[in-house]
Amino acid sequence: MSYRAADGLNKALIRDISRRKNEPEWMLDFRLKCLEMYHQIDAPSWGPDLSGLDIAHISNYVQPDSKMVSSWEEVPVGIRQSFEDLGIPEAEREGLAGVGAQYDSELVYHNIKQATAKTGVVYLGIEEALNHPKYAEIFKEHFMQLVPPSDHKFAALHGALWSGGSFVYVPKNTSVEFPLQSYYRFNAPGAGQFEHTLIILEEGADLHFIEGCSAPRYNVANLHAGCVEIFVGKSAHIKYSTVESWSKNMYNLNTKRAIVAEGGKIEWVSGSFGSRVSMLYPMGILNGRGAGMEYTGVSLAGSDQDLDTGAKVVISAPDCYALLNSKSIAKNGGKNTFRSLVKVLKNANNSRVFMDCKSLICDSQSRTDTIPVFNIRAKNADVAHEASVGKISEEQINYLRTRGLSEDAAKSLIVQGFTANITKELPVEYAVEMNNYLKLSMEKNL
Amino acid sequence: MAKEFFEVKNLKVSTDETELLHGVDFSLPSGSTTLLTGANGAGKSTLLKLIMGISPLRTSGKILLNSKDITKLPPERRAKLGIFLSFQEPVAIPGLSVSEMLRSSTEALGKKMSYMDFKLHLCELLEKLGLDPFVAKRDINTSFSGGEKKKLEILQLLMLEPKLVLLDEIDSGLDTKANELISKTLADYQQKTGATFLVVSHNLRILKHLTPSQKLVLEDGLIHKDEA
Repeated sequence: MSYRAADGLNKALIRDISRRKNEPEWMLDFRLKCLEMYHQIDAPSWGPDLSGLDIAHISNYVQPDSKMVSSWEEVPVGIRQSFEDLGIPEAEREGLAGVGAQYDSELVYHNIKQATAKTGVVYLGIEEALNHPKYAEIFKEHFMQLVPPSDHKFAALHGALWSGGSFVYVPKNTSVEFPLQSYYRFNAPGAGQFEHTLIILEEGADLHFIEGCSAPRYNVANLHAGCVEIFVGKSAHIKYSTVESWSKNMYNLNTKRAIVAEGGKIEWVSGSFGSRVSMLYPMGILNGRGAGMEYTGVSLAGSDQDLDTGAKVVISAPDCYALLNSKSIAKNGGKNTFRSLVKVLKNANNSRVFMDCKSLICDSQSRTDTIPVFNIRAKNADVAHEASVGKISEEQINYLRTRGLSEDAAKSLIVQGFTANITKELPVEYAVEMNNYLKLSMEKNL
Repeated sequence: MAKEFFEVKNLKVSTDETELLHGVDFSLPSGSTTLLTGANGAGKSTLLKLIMGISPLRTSGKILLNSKDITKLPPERRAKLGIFLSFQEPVAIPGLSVSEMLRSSTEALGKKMSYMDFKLHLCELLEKLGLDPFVAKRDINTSFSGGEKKKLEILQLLMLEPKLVLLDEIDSGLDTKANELISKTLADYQQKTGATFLVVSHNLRILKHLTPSQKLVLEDGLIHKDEA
């Protein structure tokens, strides 16, 4: 039977979630401490308006009528169909090393291909890792160490309510040939989803991890406050790609953070299209000499959307580099904000940072802002920032119209061109999905 | 006498302050080539844009294609009826490749072609125009030389196969060899399809292989035939 917790947030709910998951005592204590912190920490005084989000009227735990299995055949038909519609099982057959699928608060499917598992790569449902005889200690050592619950109000909320998500461990010098993908489907109206992704790459490891999110639209507020923590070992590399197409009743307050050792690299690729409000700033802490971070992000804000996205990088070692490349589009009264923090600490000499953000405004009702913050303490660092805001030109539209395209189709092609250098960073099926989404969104005025 | 394929009747054009065209009349016989000349600023490009439907200026009068009034049609509808404007200054669209643009255009114009056939045809046309196949992947009119941009206009023309071709200074910025190639290509196209050409040119080099049957002069907001 599926189960939906009563709306609101209290100790009884936390205890109930912990009991249902058979958690060790330390995790229950941790959750309860997080709950206290949540009540103590103020909501952000900056950024989008969160007044439509009332935690007292949100169900913070919704258990689907299914256990986690490793065969799609065993997933109940209705739930399986929603993932079939998203093309997840097909993508798994064609070119993924493993797939995790979460429905509301719990995973319903998690599987890794045998060939990948044989190389020592571990891909588990996060609750499995918590109780695993071999990985429970690693889990405890890393869980919410990069994103401590004291970080901000919704990190504390996440700590109290986390449920579902994936645990990945890639051993030394192991390259995962095909991507791993976790997909989060949110189906319950007026509910919250708080999945946790924990990824650990040992020295010289290499992984592409894909995260996808979507939900049907309801008239009540939904909340997504997930958390991603990535530990990138010496000379290891991870590409973390996300395409979020949440429905427009979603408050997407996600926290993503990676710490990168000497010579390692984190690549964030981020497509933000959905949600009513997004506050999402993937962060890299470059902690060893020569570490690197690349952020490539695209966001499209339409009517009733306030997308506050960007990236953060803290460099605490010499010879590091960061490249931040963002493209945003605002239309039909949508609001886009690119917000970034670049912090270069005293000992991070010879580090280089280049940031480029371009915005496109499609009409006079829409708005775009760029809020970069630089805090440079090293004596010798090379930091550059470029930003530009443009409109779709009448000349470009007319040129395409003379070639037979309607005005909307012309705008859509121009926008696709604007985001092309970001689309090519995405896996093919996501690039196609993103272009289709842009096309639909521009032409049907979604 | 050839049938009047295209007609402009009493076309007046004005900005908020001035009237630029005071009632222009002319017609183009089917399958013919017409040269349109006039001093700089006489309004030749404006007239071509009006025919294509992309001039924001206030107009009155009529534009007829095959006796059908197209005066109020948007540019995409005119393109679907077979009108094509080769731009004097082709417009760059960063991130949109030549191939993607042409694919979208052919689909919008309802040309049935499999993706493979489209690619093969595109490669043939690129070769015909002396362009590298890699050009198909480059962004349209971005980082191309002036001559290459003109070739891209002709590439689009050959792919979209229009019936009425408006050429605005197609021969400016072309070297002798490129001019020869384009003039010959256009003449071949006209012979093969029976398309009607309206050509604006200052240096007349494009006429090397095209023979105009009439010459129109746009002067002081009026058009008259140059019988010479």
